[in-house]
Amino acid sequence: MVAAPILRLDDLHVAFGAVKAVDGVSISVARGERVGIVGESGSGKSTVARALLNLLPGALATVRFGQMAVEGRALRRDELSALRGGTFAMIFQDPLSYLNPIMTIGRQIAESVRRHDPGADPDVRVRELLELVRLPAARHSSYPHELSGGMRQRVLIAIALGCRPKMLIADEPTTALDVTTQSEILDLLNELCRDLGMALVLISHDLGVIASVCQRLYIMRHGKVVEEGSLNDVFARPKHLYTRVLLNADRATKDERGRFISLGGDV
Amino acid sequence: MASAAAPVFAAEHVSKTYHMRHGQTHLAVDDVSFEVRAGETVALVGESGSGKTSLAKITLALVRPDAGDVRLLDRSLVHATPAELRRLRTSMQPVFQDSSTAFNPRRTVEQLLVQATPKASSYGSAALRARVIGLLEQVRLSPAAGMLGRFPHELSGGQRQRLAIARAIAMDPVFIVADEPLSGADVSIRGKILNLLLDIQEQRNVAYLFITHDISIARAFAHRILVMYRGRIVEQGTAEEVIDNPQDPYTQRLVAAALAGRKAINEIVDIDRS
Repeated sequence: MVAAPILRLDDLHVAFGAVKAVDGVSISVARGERVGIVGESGSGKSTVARALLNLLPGALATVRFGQMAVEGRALRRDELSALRGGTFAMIFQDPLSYLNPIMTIGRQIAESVRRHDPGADPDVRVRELLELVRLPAARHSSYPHELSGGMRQRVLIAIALGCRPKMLIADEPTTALDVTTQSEILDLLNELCRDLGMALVLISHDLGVIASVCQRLYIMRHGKVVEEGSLNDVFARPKHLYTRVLLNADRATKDERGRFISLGGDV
Repeated sequence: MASAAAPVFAAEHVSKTYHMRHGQTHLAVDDVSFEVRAGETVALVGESGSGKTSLAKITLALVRPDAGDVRLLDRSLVHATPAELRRLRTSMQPVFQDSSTAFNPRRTVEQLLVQATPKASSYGSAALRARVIGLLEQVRLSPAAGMLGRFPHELSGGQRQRLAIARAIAMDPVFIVADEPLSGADVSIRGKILNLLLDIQEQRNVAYLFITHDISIARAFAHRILVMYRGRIVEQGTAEEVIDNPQDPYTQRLVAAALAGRKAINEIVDIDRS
């Protein structure tokens, strides 16, 4: 018998006033699975992530979905907030914006442990978490501004892991980092998922990033999922024209006049 | 085709230090020299923190360097009087990264382009409108007549980028500094924006300084590439030389990392095919 997926979301719709940001999106994530949501800015991918954790301000966003089930149990929208910092945790693009500048990172990680893992000894757990994200233990007394971008992202990951989440949502976790640091963070995420049996939803506009981490992906455009499937299937046999454009985004093909040949789509 | 004449733009041993609190200083630009010739595209490649944005501001005479000179059409921008600088600036135009904040939101497309037209008051209103329509058609914002009364927020990201280009060429510049001009544009139209820039360069022989973190675009679009790291130019040469055969260790790391994504995709596609 197959275990229930960690997450199953059917027919999500999100509107900001008259603007439809997410238009009927369904996704599922199995236990320990690494899933990617690919799309460009405006595709709705980040909105989907925030909707999952009920992070969209009620006054501005209208959210409705057909059905949402976590570990096989159906949930109502008002139960979503409880998932935050428990079953689900999230990390974002710009770590500095999410870290308290006047608190050491050790204290910030400890804060997460105290709030979400009250049975644990914070000091012990902070040491374990720093080791998990491969930060030297001595760094617990550092302030965020004293750390490099890559290290700050590791701190965010440690804070997220302090909740012992079953699924981590990472929204463009490497986009603001130097190219040379990106692969280190992606490798870390890969390892953590394997070692902790944690599921991952990786949101990115970069197929190269997705290719090095994810097993399955959804491609979003204008609020809809235009293609989905295993990494192999989608990359080797893309069905949608937009997928093909994304796959070749960094390949510049030129015609005889030296002009770039773009595939499909218009402004 | 790049011309063999004197450079349109030259930076000579430019340095800039920023002074922060507690006496700390940051050397953002460290003895940088480069030139751009008419009809040539030079890409400035660097990651965040490399100093490329500071260098762009110095290039546009928005910031004064602490040392060195910046020359446009062989006239110094650093030593120019305010009046001379105003005159020189019209020959040099920016295209910024974030088109959503690049325009006065309370001006229509027509008003924005009229504002960017040199000596607009010397035109009759019909001639002025015709010139604006001509610009819109050049950047393929059509139907041009329908665009005149629109506001920037009513345009898509790609359309706004075209408008930014229209505004830049309205002044008939010899040199355009474009800072990540494709980053707001959907992947499917990037080729079109690049082609537009190529057409404009062909017709007007404009020189471009194209600032980007994207190695593949730099390789495909630029004639020459400068690689910037911690305030210094660590490598420069033709696009082929710098990307296909990088000599400097940082450039080598940058190129390798940038290609890793493509490699990861190819591995999956090839394994599946075999």
